[in-house]
Amino acid sequence: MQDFFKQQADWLKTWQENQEKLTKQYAELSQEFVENISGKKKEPDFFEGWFKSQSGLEEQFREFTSRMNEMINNTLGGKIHPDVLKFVNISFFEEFYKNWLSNLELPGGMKNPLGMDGGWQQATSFLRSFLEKDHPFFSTFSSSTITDQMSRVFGMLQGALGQEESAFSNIVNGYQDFFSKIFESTTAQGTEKLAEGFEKWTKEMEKHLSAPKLGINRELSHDMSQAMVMSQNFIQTYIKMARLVEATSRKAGIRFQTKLSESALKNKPVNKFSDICALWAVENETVFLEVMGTQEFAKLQGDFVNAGHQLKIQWNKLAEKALEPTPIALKRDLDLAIAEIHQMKRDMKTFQRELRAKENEARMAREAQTAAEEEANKAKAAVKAAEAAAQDEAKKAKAAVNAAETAAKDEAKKARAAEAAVEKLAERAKTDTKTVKAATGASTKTKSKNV
Amino acid sequence: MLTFPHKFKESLEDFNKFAANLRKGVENLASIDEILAGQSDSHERCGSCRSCLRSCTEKELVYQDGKRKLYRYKQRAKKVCHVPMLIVYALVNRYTMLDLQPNRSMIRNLLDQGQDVYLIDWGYADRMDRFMTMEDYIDGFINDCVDFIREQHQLDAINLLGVCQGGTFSTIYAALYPEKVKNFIPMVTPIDFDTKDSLLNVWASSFDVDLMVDAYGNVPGDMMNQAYTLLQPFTLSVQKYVNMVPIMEDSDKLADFLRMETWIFDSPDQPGETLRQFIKELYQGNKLVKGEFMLGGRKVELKNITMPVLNIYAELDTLVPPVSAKAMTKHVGSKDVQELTYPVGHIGMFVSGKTQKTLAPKIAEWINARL
Repeated sequence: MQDFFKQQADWLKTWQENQEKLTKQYAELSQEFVENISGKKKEPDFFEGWFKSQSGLEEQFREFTSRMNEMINNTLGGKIHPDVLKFVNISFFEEFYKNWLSNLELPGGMKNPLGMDGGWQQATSFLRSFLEKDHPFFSTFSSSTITDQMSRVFGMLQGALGQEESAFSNIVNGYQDFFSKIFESTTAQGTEKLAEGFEKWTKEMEKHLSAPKLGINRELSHDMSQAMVMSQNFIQTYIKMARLVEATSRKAGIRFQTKLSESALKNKPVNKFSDICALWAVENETVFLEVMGTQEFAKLQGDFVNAGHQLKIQWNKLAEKALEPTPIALKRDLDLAIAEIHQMKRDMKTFQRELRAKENEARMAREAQTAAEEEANKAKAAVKAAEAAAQDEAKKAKAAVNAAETAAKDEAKKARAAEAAVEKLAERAKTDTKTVKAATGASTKTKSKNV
Repeated sequence: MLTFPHKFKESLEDFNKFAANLRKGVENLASIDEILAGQSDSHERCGSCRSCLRSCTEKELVYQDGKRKLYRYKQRAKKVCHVPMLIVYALVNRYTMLDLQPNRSMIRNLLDQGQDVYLIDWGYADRMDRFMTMEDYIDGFINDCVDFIREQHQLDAINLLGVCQGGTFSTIYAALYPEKVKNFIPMVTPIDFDTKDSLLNVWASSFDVDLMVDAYGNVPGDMMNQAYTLLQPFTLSVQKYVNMVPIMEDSDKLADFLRMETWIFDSPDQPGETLRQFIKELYQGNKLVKGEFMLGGRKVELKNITMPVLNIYAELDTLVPPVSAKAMTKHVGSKDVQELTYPVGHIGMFVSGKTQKTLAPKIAEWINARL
C-alpha cells in the first residue's frame, strides 16, 4: 500500500503546483479584467486566456477528485468496512467546485460568464448528479438497487423458462427495459413521459397475459400481470416523490441564492469554498426538513415505500415460481424450516428454564432435608446428653441419699451411745451421790466426838 | 458572491489550502492503521502498541447463548461497587459506541468510578434470527443475563442501564421483573412514541411494516442507516464530508473521524419479527404508555417500576426526542425518579467532551447513594 501511495506522490505534487499556477493566473486575469472594464475594450486573446484558465482549473479538479477517490479506495480498502468507503466519496466536491467557480461574481459586480448556465440555481441537477453517483442521498430505492434486483429475479425467470416460452420471455425483457429506463431518467417530467409509454405497453401486454398462448403457464402469466400493475403503482408514487424533491430543490436553490446576495450586499461575501458549501447545505436542509416534517410528505413517502415493498414481494413470488421446478430450496420452505427451528429452540429454552427451576427446587429441598437431618441429629444428641446427665444426677442423688442415711444411722447410733453414756453417767452420779452422802454422815459423827 | 478583487484572490487561495488538505489527507490515510471502532477481540494485547492504545477496554466473555454474548469488563478502580451494572444496548448499530476509543468511552469512565460493568452484545442478526421476537430478547436473554449475574454475586437485584432501544427493552424488563432490578437507568430511551418532534415518529405512521418485513425478512442495516441519514440529509451526506477536509491533515483526528464513520455504518440487520413488533406496537400503537403492551402473555405496567430511576436524555436528540424520553418520569411508579439532561445529540451523549467528563461520575454518585 505504501508503494501504491509513493507512485501517486509525484502526480499529487505536480497537481498542486499546477493548481496554484492556474489559480494565480486566473486571479491575475480577473484582476486585469476588472481594472480595464471601464471603457477599454479587451482583446479576444485576453478572453481566451481567461476562459482557458477557468476551464483548466475545472479540468484539474475533476481529475484530482477522481484520482483522489481512487487513492482513498486503495489506501482504505481493508481498513474500514466497504459500506463506509461508499460514503467516503469525495467526488461530490467536484460538483461543489464546478458550481463555486461558475458562481464567482467578478470584482465590480460583473457576473462570471461561466455562471450563465445556472450554477447553484440548478439545485435539481446537483441533486440528480448526486443520485447518479450512487450516493445514499434519497436513494433508499435508487434506480441501481431496483434494477439490480429486477435483473436478478428476471434472470432466474428467464433461465427457468428456457427457449420454449419465448413469447413470455419477450414480455419479461420488454418489462425490464422499460422499467430500467424510467429510473434512468433524471427529471420527474422525463420519468412521467416514460411512464406514459410504459402504461401503454403494459395495456398491450395485458392482452397476451390474460389470454396466454398454449403452453404458457397461466399462473405465471397472472403473477406477471400483477407485477406490471404493481410496477405502475410504484412508478406513479416515484413520480410524485420526484416532483416534490425537484420542487423543494428549486425552492432551496432560490433561498440559497438569496442568502448569497444578501451577504454580498452586506459587504460580507461568502468567498471561501467551505463556507459556500456550508451555506448550501444549511439552506437546503432547512427547506427540505420543513417539507419532510409534514404529514403529507409522510403519506407520500409511505405510499412510495409501501408500493416498492409490494413490488418486491411480487418479484420474490415470481422468483420462487422460477425456482419451483429446480431442486433449489425455496425461500418460503427455508423460512418455514427456520421458523420451526426457532420454535424448537424456544421450546428447548423454556424446557431448560423449567429444568433449571426444578433443579433449584430440588436443590433447595435437598438442602432443607440435610438441614432438618442435622437438626434431628443435634436434638438426638442433646436428648442423649440430657439423659446421661439425668442419670448422673440420679446416681449422685442416690449416693447422697445413701450417704445421708448412713450418716443419719451413724448419728442415731452415736446418739444412742451418747444416751447410754448419759444414762450410765446418771447411774454413776446416783451412786456417787449416795457414796458422798454416806461419807458426809460418817465425818459428822467423828467431828462431834472430837469436840 | 465576490465583490472585491482582494477577496476574489483570497477565495482562490483558500480553495488551494482546501485542496492541499485533501492531498495531505491522502498521505495520512496511507499511514493509518486498520480502523476499529471499539473492537479488539482479534488483537492480542500487548498494552503498548498503537492498536492497544487505541482499542477498547478489556472484557471477558462470561455467558453466551448462540450469537448473543454477555461480557464483564475488567475492573479499573480500587474500590468496586458491590452491586454490578448490566448495560443493555440497542439492536440498531453496535454497542461499540459505548467504548469507541480510550478517550471516548462511557464504559471506561464507569469502571474508573468503581462500577462493576456487564454488557450484552446482541451480535449480528442473520437469517436464523428472522423470527426472534421482543419476548425472546427480553424474557429470554436479558432475563438469563440478569439471573446469571445475580447468581454470580449472590444478590437479589442488580443495577440495569439501557441505551436507546435497549432502554425500551430494559424498561419492559424492569416492569415485568421489578424484584430483580435495584436501580434503573434508562439513557436516551424512547417511551412515548406519539410525538411529532422527530421525523422518524412522523414517518412511521404512514408505512406498512408488515410489507417491509414480508419483503425483506430481516430489514437491512443499510436501509435503517439511510432512514437516519434522511433526518439531517444535507448535514450528514454533504456537510460532514466537507468538514472532514480541514481535519484530514491531522492523522489522529482523521482516524477518529473514520472510527466514528466505521461505527455509524456498522449496522446489523434488524430481526424481522422484532422490528415488526417494535414499530407496530410502539411506534404506531404507542402501547407502552397506554398500558396495553403485552409480552409473553403478560401486560407490561410501567407503574410496576418502583425502584429508583435515573432518566438520562439528550436535549438535541433528533432520533429520540426529549419529550419521548421524558415520558418515563411521568409513567413509572417509582417515587425516586431523577432526570439528567445534556445539551447534546443522540450520539453526543456518549462521545462528546462534556459528557465524557461528567456523565459517568454522576451515574456512579446516584447509584452509590442508593445501595
